[in-house]
Amino acid sequence: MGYASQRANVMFFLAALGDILKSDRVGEALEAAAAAADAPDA
Amino acid sequence: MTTPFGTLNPSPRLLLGPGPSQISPRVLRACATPLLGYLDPEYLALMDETQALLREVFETKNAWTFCAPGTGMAGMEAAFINALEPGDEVLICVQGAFGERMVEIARRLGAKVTRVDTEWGRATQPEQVAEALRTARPKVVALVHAETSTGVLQPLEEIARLAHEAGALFLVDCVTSLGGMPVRADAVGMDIAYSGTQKCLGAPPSLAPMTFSPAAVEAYHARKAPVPSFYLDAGQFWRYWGPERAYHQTGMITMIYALREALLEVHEEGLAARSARHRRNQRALIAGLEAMGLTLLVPDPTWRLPSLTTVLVPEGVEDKAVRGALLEKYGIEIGGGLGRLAGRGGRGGRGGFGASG
Repeated sequence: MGYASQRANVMFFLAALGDILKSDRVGEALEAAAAAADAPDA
Repeated sequence: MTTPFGTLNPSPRLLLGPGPSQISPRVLRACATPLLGYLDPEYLALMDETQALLREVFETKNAWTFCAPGTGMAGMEAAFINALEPGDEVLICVQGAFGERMVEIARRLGAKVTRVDTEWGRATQPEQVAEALRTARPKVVALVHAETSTGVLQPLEEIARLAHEAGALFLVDCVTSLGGMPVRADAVGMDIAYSGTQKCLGAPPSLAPMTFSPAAVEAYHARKAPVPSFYLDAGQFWRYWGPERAYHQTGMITMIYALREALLEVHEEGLAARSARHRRNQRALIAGLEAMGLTLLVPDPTWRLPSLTTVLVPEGVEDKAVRGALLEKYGIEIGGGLGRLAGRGGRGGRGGFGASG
């Protein structure tokens, strides 16, 4: 565990946190994170 | 013979807290390399390489660049104990738990402390320091570059200039910044800087990289009395890390192997690329947290650390329970709030190998 890319780590963490907080916005969170990760560097 | 202790077999974890961070298989492999003696010429050559790589990551030409034995806290203690003597004045910018620790250490050394306090979650402004320097005459101005307790990235250049104009040394804690972003020690004008190996450098904990500018070395030699700690005496470190190779303490052989390998990873990736990667992953994490309706402690995006994010615990949620569930159900470690943020914040780090990709 832990040797995935950090993008995967971020996604895994957000999904895990959403599950524990019983959030109904996990899908939105993952989409937002992916979009931010794909955005060009400033 | 059977023992009640069992075999060492730690559970797999994803270390996303403020440290220690994930370390790479390459660094782990270095930890399993056979020992050399601490004066073996082969080991001394590895120390030289480590020193050159440390200068590269600090972005300094300082001769006095080496490691103190111990974690980042040993670096903090060594920085202050070498810079200050009883009765010396020191100005410390306090914006989190590690600024508070600087104050505690300076007071224990008998220094006269002037505090510049800033609300936790915000960066110290140069005007605050300028105002304090109207009356204070410190030998040292100290602050934390990357406050681990709040996730604030402190701008340094202007405060360094004010410190030098006041004739003071500029002492900086780089524990959560070194290796994750440029620290530019020489360009900024740091006189004493220290860090830890267990965060953005991606090595195990227990070494504190340090660097001393020529002005800091001159101040060391001008001390009225020897450094009261023999073990943390920077002059003794230099006697071992420099050309004299004098025995001071047993070298941290395995840790130097690990640090050298971690520094090579930084070297091969390049500081700019590494910094951009941390920023990119910071953006992703923050976007996800905010989309989930969570609030960050640090309101100003320009103050947010690329290597560590602090999120406020939602109303009605107990942070310890969340951290416990993350660990138990998913094997993920994050940090809890420190100091006055205890129970209010969760801290997620992106240092080291966990930040790869």
